[in-house]
Amino acid sequence: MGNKKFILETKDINKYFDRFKVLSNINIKLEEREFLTIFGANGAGKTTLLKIIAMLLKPNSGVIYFNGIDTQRSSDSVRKSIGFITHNTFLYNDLSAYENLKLYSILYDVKNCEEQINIVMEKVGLLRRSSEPIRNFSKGMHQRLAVARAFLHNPTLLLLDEPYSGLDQKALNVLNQMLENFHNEGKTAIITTHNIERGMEIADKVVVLNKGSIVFEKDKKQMEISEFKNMYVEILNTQL
Amino acid sequence: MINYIKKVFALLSKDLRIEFRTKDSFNSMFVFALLMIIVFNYAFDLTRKETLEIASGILWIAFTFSGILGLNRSFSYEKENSAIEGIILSPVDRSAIYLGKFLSNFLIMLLFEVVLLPFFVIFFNLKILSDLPILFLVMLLGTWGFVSVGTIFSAISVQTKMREIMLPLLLFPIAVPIIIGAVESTSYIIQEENWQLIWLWIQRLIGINVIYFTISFILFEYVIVE
Amino acid sequence: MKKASFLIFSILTFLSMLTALFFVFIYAPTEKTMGVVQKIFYFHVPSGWIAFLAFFIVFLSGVIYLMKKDKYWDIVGSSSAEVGVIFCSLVLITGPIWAKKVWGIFWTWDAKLTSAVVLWLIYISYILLRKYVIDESKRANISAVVGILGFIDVPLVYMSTRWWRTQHPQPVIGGGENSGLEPKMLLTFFICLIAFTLLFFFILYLKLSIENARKEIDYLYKSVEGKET
Repeated sequence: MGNKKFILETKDINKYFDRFKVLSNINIKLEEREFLTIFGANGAGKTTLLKIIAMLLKPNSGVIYFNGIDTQRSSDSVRKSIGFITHNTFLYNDLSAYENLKLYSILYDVKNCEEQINIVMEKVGLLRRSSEPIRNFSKGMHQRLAVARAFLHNPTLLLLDEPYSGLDQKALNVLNQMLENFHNEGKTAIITTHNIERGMEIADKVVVLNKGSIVFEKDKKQMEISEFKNMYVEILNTQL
Repeated sequence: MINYIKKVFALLSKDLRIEFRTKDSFNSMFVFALLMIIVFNYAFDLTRKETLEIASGILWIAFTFSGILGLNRSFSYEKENSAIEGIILSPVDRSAIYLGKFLSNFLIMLLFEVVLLPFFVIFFNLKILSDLPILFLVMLLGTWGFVSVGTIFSAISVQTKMREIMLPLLLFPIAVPIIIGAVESTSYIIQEENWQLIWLWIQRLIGINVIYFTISFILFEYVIVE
Repeated sequence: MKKASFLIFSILTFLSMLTALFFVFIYAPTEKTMGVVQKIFYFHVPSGWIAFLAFFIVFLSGVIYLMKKDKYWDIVGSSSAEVGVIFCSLVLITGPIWAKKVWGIFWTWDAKLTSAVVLWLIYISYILLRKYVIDESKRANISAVVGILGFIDVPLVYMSTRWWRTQHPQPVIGGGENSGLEPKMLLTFFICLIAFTLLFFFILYLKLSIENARKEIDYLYKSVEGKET
């Protein structure tokens, strides 16, 4: 049964691509206000897990509870509460920043969308550039707009798939700032990354995924960073 | 329900806005069709009677082959930045995504056909002014059917390695009944046949459209999500 | 399928094909006007029915797959397509041979032949699609959709072409094959039909076994590599 105390609970999630087992018995519990960082080598299953939580993919077995409700039963309300950031920006190059966000605000049933769009554009520092087609934007500006898109509908759970790769300094600052505020507001996030420093900095809880299984799970407060580094490097070495 | 329509409309506006700004689909369709008509002129040396007999076929070949260009384009910009994935992540009904795409493809292709028609009438010296309303109805129905399966196959072919050939290969065999219906109806209009024959073919077209549209509407979600 | 039943199945298929050959070349009388060439009909028409049956299986597997998401049905669909396309090709090859000899023309765009060509194209597009899909996890879904739309198309093409042809008549090849057949010929025809059907299911079974074996090998290969926990 789902426990109402947890924002997110995954129970025995298994995922196969054909007969290749990508995820095995993933059990994660996330409380409100907890930021979880998932470390793992490429191909460990991090992106697949995030996509399953975001409901882009379906698990072969297992259940996911969001605020105590089975996600399969109320997919619309779950999607409404989740934000997703990855290296794909999900934006239309021939539309302006405003038009892109307007579209998403309608799809996500955002109330007071004009206001919300302005707020979020201001936060990422793009308010002045809201009406030109974003084809002219630099990569960092695209990334910042993608961050704006993810926060636009005030999600309760944020999923970030390797968010730190390919960001310029400005975008990095914006992301860190917004994540910090998000954390302070009591919201929840899951971040996958290779970057040990950043990942540890932001985490309340740390998980290591290896070949589809959770091989390490601990609260950050109970850990020594250097000891973790050694263990993680050892896990990575077994991949070679 | 109103929410659903609102979202369909938002998706439709998005596509129309992009097309209006870039004019990519319309331009390529129009130029290609014009070229086809000109080449046909050189490929065949026709008497007046022969021209009237095959004009309808040439028109619909121009419409459908050019239409493929627009259909291809409509999903290729969804792949840029994986925009379509962002849409799928949101709480929008997958059928609404189909409707939005279908309507935008339909409107753009219809506009292209309406603009091409005068050129066609001039090049082939046709007298169809009095029959314009019924001709528009046929164009509407033929385009409706073509785009209803074209949209779903476009979504499929954009996920393949050989998308330029996959779309025509998938679409044309399936579109044969629609093309037959459209060509026949148009042919009878051009040759000023009796109204019963035209109406008979229009009814058949409507029947085929209903079948194809309903099935495409239902099956679309399987094409874009796992 | 157990070894014993497989053995029986293969012997049955072999014997039925042998029987069919006997009936076609020895038992069945030579047609008065068309001569020996008419005997192609005994291979041409059953191939056509099998081509249609095979795609019906593709259609059915597609529907079941979309409902149950069991990969087994995807394999059934794709195997049926790969076997069916062979029979469909046979139809398109034997048809013109027969037609040229008997009616003097290779081809006519009547309802039957047009539907056969369209079906063949749908087969080809289905097979190529499976080969060219980039994301393997989408392959089954997309194939099922194409199988469903393709199957619905064939009767629509047949009807549309008939309506079209009533306005623009042309010679119909093999128009009355099933009407006015002598009893001996009818018997031969049905024996061929049974033999071909058995042959189809036999080849389909072999194909399914190969596909399953392939999956097993993939699975073992991956577990040896240590990717399987």
